[in-house]
Amino acid sequence: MTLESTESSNPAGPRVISGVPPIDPGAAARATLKLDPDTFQRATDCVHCGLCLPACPTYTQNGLESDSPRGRIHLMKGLAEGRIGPSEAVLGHLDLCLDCRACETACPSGVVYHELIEATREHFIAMRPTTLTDKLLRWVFFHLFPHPTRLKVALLPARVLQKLGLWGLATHRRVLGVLPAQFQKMAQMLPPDGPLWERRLASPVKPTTATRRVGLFTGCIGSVLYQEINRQTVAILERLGCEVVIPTGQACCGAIHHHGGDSHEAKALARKNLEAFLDLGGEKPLDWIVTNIAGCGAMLREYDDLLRDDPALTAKAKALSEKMRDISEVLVELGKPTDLKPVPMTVTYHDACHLRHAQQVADPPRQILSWIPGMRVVPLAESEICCGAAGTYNLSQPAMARDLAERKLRNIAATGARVCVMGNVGCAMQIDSEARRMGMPLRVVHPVTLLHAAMFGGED
Amino acid sequence: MPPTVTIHEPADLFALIQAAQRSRVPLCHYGVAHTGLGHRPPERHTAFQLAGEVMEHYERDFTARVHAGATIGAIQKALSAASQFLPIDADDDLTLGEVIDHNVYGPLRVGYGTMRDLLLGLHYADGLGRDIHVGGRVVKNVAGYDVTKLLVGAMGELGVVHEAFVRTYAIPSEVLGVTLEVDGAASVDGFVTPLLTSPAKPVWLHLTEEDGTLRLGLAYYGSSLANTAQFEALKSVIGQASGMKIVASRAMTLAEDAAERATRRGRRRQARTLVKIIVPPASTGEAWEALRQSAWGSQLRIDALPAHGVLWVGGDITADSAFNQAVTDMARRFDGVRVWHTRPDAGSEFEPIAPLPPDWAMLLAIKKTMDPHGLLNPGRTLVGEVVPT
Amino acid sequence: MTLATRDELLDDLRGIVGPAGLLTSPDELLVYECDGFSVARGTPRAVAFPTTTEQVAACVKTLRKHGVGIVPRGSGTGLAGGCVAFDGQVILCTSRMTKIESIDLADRVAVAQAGALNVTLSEAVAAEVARWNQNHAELPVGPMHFSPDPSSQRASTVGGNAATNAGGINTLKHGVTSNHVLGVEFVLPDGEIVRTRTAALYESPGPDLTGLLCGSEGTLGILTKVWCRLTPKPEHFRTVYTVYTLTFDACKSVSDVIAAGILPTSMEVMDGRMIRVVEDAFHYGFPTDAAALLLIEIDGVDSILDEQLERIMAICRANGARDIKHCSDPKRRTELWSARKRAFGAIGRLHTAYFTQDACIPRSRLPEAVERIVAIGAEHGLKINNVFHAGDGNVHPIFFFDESNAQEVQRTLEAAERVLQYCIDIGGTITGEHGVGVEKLAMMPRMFNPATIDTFQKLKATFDPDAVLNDGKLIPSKTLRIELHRPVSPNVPGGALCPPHHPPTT
Repeated sequence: MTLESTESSNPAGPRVISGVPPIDPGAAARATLKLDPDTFQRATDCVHCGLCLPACPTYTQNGLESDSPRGRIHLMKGLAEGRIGPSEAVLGHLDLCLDCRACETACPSGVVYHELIEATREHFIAMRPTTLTDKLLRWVFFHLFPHPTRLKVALLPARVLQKLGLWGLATHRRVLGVLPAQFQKMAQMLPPDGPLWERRLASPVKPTTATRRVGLFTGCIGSVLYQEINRQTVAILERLGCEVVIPTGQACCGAIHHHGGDSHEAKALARKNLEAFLDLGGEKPLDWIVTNIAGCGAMLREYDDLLRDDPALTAKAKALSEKMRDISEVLVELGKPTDLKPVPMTVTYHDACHLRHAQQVADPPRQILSWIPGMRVVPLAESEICCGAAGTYNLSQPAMARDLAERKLRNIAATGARVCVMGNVGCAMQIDSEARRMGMPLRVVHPVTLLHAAMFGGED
Repeated sequence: MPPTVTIHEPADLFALIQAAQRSRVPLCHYGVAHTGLGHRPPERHTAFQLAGEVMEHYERDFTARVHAGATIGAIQKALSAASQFLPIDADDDLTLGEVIDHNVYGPLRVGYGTMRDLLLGLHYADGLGRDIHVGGRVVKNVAGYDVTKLLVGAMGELGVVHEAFVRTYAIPSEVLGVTLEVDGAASVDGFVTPLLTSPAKPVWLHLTEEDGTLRLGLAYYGSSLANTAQFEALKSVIGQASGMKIVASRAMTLAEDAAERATRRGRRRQARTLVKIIVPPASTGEAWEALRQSAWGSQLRIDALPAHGVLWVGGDITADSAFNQAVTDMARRFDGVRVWHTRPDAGSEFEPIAPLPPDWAMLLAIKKTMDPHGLLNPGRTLVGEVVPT
Repeated sequence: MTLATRDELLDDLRGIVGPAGLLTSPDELLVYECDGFSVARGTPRAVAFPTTTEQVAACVKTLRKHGVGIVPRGSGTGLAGGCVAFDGQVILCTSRMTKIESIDLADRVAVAQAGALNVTLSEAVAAEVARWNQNHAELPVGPMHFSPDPSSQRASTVGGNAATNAGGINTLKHGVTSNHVLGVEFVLPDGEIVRTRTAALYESPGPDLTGLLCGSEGTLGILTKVWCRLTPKPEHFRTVYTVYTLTFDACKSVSDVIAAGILPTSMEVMDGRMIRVVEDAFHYGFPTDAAALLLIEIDGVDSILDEQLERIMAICRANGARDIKHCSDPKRRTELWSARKRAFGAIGRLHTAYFTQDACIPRSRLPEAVERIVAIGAEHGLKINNVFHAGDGNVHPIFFFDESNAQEVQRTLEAAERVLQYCIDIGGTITGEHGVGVEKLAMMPRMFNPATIDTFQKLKATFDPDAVLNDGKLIPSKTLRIELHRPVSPNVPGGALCPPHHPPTT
């Protein structure tokens, strides 16, 4: 039985169109994106099921499939196969990706999306024209942020103005308006108070009865702007019977470079950290290496991937990746501390992408909050959707970052909680500064700070 | 009036339609219980009915293939041999075809839905006398357009169903019937959602009036253990609701329960006047009270499905135009619809359905497509020209 | 068509949806070339993103004026190529029509724009229930939801669910999408907006147009709004999975449970290879040496579930179940179904060239049918795997093939055709829930007699006389035929990917 047996008002019959694209043997030669076979395999692992769509912050914001994980993979595949070229529009869609990796949590096929987007970005970054602002930004990202001392020097004038009560005047729109938008944003993100000159953490005294030896990765921005959390981490770990080691040779984790397309510098920093944490000397190697900054933790955990082409370091990188833990995981492993004091507070918890998606750590921070007597934790809608910080994304894509921040703040407001807990510096700066900009009373706090309060007092 | 032709074989049905196409004498089949639904047949027509039986009962699949001419009584009897039944509130003398054509349902709709939920596929004759097969015997099917659903409630105006595939269900080991006394119809409106979303969700729900007392009847189908658990849950829901109390409960068989449901709906069939009003479900009680307060209030007999916003209103009253106006206004007030089921002859000029659903123009166009010569129940409800908007 | 008129079309569309609401650059359009069935590909002329019904109507009028075909698309998670544009058609995408207009718990109806996500709707309903109960503490309502749960429910839209009459895992007990759609609003090719329902009514007298529109795959009208029935969300479950050494035994258990008159919420079977894929992906803890798993869930009144579960387990044991594992912990239960729902996507870990069938057969024939399907594969030298909605008889045989091997592709094609013909022969259908789209179009004349196909075509013409809406999908079109058959040539890799419209005469 075929179609012809039904009556047809069109004697010529239907027009026949091929629904299978023809194979273009010359396309590959025109490809503008060369990916190594391993990485390209990532793209072909995608079966186009679409389950990543609702997880993607940009897709759920603008509804464009070209701004979805599945769509971006399709674009990258198209570039690698020579079906499309790197037009401004295409690169724009790739640039708008936060690299938050929520799609990896959602993906049933196990597509390692971030490798694909990072490799693609690195490939195109060299080919693109740069403005003076771009150059300046890159200098700030690569040469200022990763160096705590330089950062402290740079922040000194701002801190002085804050102490003098003049910072508000200095950041007034009319004054800051002369700077490029990205720099205005940076100024806004500076937490409203802090010491003029943050001190380095001294390696604590070794407790005599220590059962575990824990290395602490302090972070660069973290060690300047959020050093208090590091202090609290040390205090908690020591109380729980750990020996905390803070190697002085540690460097920036390299995430900013890696995500910004400079894997060469990222690898150099990785080598420094391998040396700092694994060649410590002493009688006993570290049991764990912890950080309370999700962004750094995610990078450190992936040193084995980063250095997979360096056979001399593969084993070491793997060793470090395996020892790497988020502070919340270690705290859960150590068990609930005894004698916790009530911290009566209503809070909500935001999942930092680099914790939830890059490290797949979702439960431990919530578990820690559930230990604290008197604390009410209200679930946050879309807690797994990026707040728009995404490393330096809020500086390079301010419009989308702001939209996402507002969405995050709307969801936070709906919980009724005035305190939002999160385990990442980048999110904290973004959510805190955006809340201030919108005049929303909100306190942003690390779970360590709350646990510290429950253990040592200080939050009433 | 010419005698009614009885069709036993599909081939005879196709031949009848093809003959009508030649003679231009239309065919009418309004069923035995729906002669008052829609405009009267044209003066000159051939009346027909279908006869038949259960063709195959796929016991292990819980489905059956049935002639549309089989009566509900015969179907229930055949299915009961395998301890199964067709969960539909329809009188034994109606054929399955009549039930499909008029979307016949009752209180059991809460637990089992309507024919649109029970039908899996149809064989029907279109207005050209062709044999059309849609859907099938499997329980999930999205091949082609769902003409099966389109024909439910189509009043025989789009095609003549001659065979149907239906879902069947296991006869429960016990039925626990419960009667609640209700202070006022409006108190039911806020009660239905809490009841239906509680562990006490019944399999049917029916609001009736006996000797001036409002009664909400409901039942549970299951094992005795299950029914008892649901009854306990009901007591706790009732405990929270105001204006309700349990006055009776009785364990029985499905046959006894079916007989009681039949008795209650039987009154509607005897009524001289019967109109159905459909309102949003949570307005059922409010509409009920408004009807009671109308000029005809004391004479009306009303029963309702509060879970679905359906009220059957009627009794031994004269359906004059004032009454028609009143029930039509009532439907409009709730953004609802009213449908005449039984009218004394004086009311034959009333619009059968008012206000017309917003998709009516589309339905008229479909009528033209499926019955291009206007041979199947012409002029019944799908009347008028398609006006392009 | 000249270039000038084409630009005029785009300008007109831009005038309706704004410059940010229209994609036209070929590079960007690439991402709209396929849905979840990535074999069928076509690049749209443009993609428009209306935000309201009125914008959809205005776009439709404009497109019709320019004689350009229209393809509606939601999230593009379909598996039959139903929302792919061919031949210069323009896509109207509902991804910005995500508003949930109202949730009425008393009437148990929610009204959502077509692009609202299935899960988002149920989440909004849950929030409304919580709000309601704060104000009505004396007579609280229980949890409610929009019941259809296709595996794509986190990503797919209610409009897409309705347009394809989507199925899912819970359909066994709770019904498919069209059982839960009370009404729709749609746009006709002339731009007219039609509603099949007023207010929160559960019924509209006369022929059931809502039922016809459900599953019409965007060929009759573009759905812009859906009236969704809200039903009680089950709260109490018993969830088990049973382990078998033979797939036949798992299927026999399913068939026997149904025959015993028990109606579980869901009964899902996964064969050995699929178990290993799913386990590798989600680390649930399934036994990877099993030949088949049967996942069963029942819901209802808590106190009686154990009794029912006992009956089911007895049937499973009688059919040789090796082991029965309980998943009573709610977290484990969620993980179990999440693993099941993502099973299809996980196939990507195994093989990238595969396609899935969606036949539905009488449940009593399940054991023999699944054996027969695997045997047909073997006769063609192919491996066929299965993960499927066993309780409904809805099988999903998955064919793996090497895309660069023309002979193997051809064999796959022949085997698939035989499998479907076999399913039709035993009383089944070619598609239980995925829809016809372009993928199964060639099989339609095998399913339906010429008069029925003609009826479908005439119904289509009643709504869409000029064949501008999703032409070439669902039913054989008189104006456009999309061939997914690529002639096999020894020099060209690939070859046929779907059955040809004219079966080979050899």
